[in-house]
Amino acid sequence: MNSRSLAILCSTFLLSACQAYSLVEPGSRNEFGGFYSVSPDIAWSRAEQGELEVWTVDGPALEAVRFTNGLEDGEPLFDTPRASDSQEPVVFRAFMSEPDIMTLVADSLSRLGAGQLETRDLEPTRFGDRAGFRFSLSFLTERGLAMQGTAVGTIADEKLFLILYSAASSYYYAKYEPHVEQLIDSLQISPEL
Amino acid sequence: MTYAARPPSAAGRGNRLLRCVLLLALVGSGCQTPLADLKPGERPPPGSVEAGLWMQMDKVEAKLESSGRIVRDRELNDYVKAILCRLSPEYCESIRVYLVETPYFNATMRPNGTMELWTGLMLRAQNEAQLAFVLAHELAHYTRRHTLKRWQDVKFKSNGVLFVQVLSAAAGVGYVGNLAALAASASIFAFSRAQESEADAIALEMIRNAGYDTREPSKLWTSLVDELEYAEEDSGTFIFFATHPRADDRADVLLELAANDEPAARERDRFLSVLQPHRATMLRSELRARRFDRSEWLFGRLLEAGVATGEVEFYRGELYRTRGEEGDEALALQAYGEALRSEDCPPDAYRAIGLIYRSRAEHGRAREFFERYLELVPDAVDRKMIESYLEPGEPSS
Repeated sequence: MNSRSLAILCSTFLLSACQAYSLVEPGSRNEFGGFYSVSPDIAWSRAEQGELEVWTVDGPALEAVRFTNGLEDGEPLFDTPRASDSQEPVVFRAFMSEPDIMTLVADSLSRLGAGQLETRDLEPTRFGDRAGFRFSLSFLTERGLAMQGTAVGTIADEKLFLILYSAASSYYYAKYEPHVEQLIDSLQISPEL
Repeated sequence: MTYAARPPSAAGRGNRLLRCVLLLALVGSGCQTPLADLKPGERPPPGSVEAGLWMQMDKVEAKLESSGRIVRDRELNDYVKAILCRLSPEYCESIRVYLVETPYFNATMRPNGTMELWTGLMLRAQNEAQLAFVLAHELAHYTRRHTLKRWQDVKFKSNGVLFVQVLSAAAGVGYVGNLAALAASASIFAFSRAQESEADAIALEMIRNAGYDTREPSKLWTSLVDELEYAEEDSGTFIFFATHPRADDRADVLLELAANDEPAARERDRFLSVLQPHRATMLRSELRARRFDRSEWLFGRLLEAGVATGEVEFYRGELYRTRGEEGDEALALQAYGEALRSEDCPPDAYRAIGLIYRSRAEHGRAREFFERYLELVPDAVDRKMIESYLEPGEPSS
């Protein structure tokens, strides 16, 4: 193998390790799990993260909107590492109530290394034209960065549909909050459901 | 043909080589200069290997300092530091203890004086004497320079293995090199286990001198063994490759070392009282680990010991409700019921019972518990949601 083909092979390998992002155009309608769709007012970058779709502008460590495609009973919100064989993943259960979902999100983030988690302001809201819920959260990342978040969701057909916005408390949360609120306002339940 | 006249077989050459190598290793091991204990306030000389280790650990500590998982409560930190200073007034200023919110049973010591104490261990300790033993054990790693010694041991044995591998390959008996590598690995793990045993023995002496009950450390390990057995979890890696002695062996050795000691201070009440404001967070953290069997055992043991009955019963109920297996709902209701009978019952127990009745469509009963919850927690984080369960049109209304 000559040095050129080795360099191409190495580059291909390195690129494949990167998360593949694609552009989300402002005004486009984007569907999740065949259940709901949103239309952004700014351009976002989109990537897959396990069962979630992640939208960001400056990078997911600074701000990210995560969309579930409909978590089913027994499925985790995030793919989290297990410390031992006896440790079970933090999963959504179909019997969960809205306060339980708030705990589920906090527990899931904790497994990703978040500390000093606080959830608050759980209240009913509309998720498109359906009954839903909303709450706020704050936490510190494992590296100590203060984060804020907002979650909006609904449980339909025993599946959890959730939009989770989290961003660094300083600067980034406030910067993208209006655009996330616009996303939530644009939410439509897919016509066939 | 005499034995001596036979051309040496590969195995014969290997045996002789192995004997030579073992001899060299024996001689070589004597060449390692014994390291003196670290003196209070002593720093390694600049440019030394130890200084390099410290520098690396300083970087790790800088990350740890800003971590979101550090428990920064002043009173709890002061309490732990005071125990450390009671154990060793001369060394306590050299050690920085970081309380880390993580539900696992562990504590660590780094060569530069950074000690991590995990909240999962604090929740499992039954009194101050047990906690003091853990702190003393970690301190012993620091004073005895265990990290540096382990580093030297690994380096020496790795060099030896490399030497043997080259020689054995040249002699056409490469398997001898592989055997030497295996033996060196086992020896490195054995060295680590020996350090742990040494730290246990020193720690027991330290808590004895500080006036703590030396029979308590053994109980800490026995509890851990019981917890692991309950969860049908192995208590350690295959001993050949284990960095620590088995928990049951440690319990036995510690018990033996304390055999002639009289009962002394356990400081249980003070320990439980200092932990009280943090216990709910620790119990919640324990649940987040989703190790249901281990948590079930732990909650049972805390209840047996009469620790924060209402609070622990509530989290036992949360465990069953979260696990959600057949029969768990009834167990949850039973635990919440027990919680309500205690003065320290968290008001959240009312909400939890309400949620179970709501899911069972027993709306009248659900309403009763939701209303009591809102009455007890006027500024509940989920007030509007719970109120919505009571609105006209909702089944619970």
